[in-house]
Amino acid sequence: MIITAIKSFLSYVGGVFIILIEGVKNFHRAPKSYKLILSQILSMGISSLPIVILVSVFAGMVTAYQAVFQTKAYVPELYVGMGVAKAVLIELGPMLTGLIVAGRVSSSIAAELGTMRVTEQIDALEIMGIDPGRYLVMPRIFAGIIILPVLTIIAESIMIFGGMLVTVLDIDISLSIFLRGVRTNFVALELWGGLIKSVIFGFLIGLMGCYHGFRAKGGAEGVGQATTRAVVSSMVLILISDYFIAKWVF
Amino acid sequence: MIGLKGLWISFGDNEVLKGLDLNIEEGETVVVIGQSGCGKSVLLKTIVGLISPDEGEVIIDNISLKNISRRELYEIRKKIGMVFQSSALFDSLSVWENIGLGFIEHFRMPRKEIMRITREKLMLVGLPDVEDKYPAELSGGMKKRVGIARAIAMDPDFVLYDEPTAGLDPIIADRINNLIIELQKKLKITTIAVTHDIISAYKIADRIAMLYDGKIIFDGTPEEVQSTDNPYVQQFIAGEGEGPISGGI
Repeated sequence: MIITAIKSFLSYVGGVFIILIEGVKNFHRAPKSYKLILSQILSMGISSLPIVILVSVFAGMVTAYQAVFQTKAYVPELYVGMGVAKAVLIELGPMLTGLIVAGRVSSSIAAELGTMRVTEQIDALEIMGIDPGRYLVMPRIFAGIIILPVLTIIAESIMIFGGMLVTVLDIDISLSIFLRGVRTNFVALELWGGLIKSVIFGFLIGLMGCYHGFRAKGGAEGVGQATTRAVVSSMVLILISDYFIAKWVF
Repeated sequence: MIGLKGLWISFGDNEVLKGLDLNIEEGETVVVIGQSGCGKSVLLKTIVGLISPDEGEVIIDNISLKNISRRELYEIRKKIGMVFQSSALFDSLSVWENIGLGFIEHFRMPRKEIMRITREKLMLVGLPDVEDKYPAELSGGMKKRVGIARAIAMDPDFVLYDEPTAGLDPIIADRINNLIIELQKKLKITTIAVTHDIISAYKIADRIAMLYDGKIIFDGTPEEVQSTDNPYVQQFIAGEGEGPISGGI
């Protein structure tokens, strides 16, 4: 039982490592494959943007509301904006965007590649002398690395905007105090740290989608399982890596 | 020429090929027949290097696929076209992109030139004016023809067909058989087809080899197949449930 579990774990790690190598070793071909990458960036970005915007507005609003509710008795109003900005830049922005895109994009990559696997389209690519690592894996991982920081910046801006709306309209803290709070004690590392996180999350989302898609077998059921596994594993890896990046950067 | 020497392939405890030997000479059409699940598709995937044999080797034009680099394997694959049982057309690409993908990726040819080649290949398979359609808009027979056009797009020396008539009605199946013969004659391609459709085998084959229990148990012309006293071949071509062939449902 334990030996089987260890074998299965090692096989999983080995499989992920192989897909990782397949993608990364083709990174130097990115300029020549810019059309494939661009099409992935657009597809990932456009499909995720509406849900990222929606979630970000409400996440920003609830963050501001909670900040006021928890601290109004003993913390000056100035610190509401500061609290919202720090929470958003360090943690909420990259983490929420990562989790949303993991659900939206990792599943779609796994479903697309899984269908290609079970319908022999990936075999057909191989026989045409086209390396699936370059044609399928590299553009998706590369696009994840590029699009996640962009979506994170958009999400962070909207979260702070959402926080500002609640603070000004509902809690009666003036706009100037909120904005002064956002600028108070701003540390650039917090912004960069969040963006470094988003780069790694984007990489993990692309990697997990590709790995589970390539491993799909059987048919519709196999593709469904691959999709679920891609979402779960990318979310788990995002949460685990978030801790280690936080320790390393901050 | 393609040479298969002592191929052994197993998946876990399931031994699929058990020391299979077969030679395919330049320009001939060899059809491998056998029951469903006997390893015919595995054999084709082994020839193109998608599956590595546990033992034995595949030799294509005097180059063994054993221990060659991936780049060398891709170079060899450029000489081979394959038509899949399910056609395996790329859903997200139009017909012309499916057929021209090799040119786009390997030679970065201009679109105009790729369109010209695509139309030429589509004419060869008798399917004009579909280059802008997507696979979802095509019927089974049309998909098969596009699959064949894609396989011959880069003027390969070898074309492999996996169950070329599976899932098609007898009339369309016969047209596909005629197309395979016509292409072989026009383009002088070495053809390997695997099928359990014995009518198709008789029609297109120069030689028929029967795969049973992981080995080629019979190899001869269509006439020799019909006159053999090999009980396994007799049972298979007669389509009888009772006989020496065991297994299956």
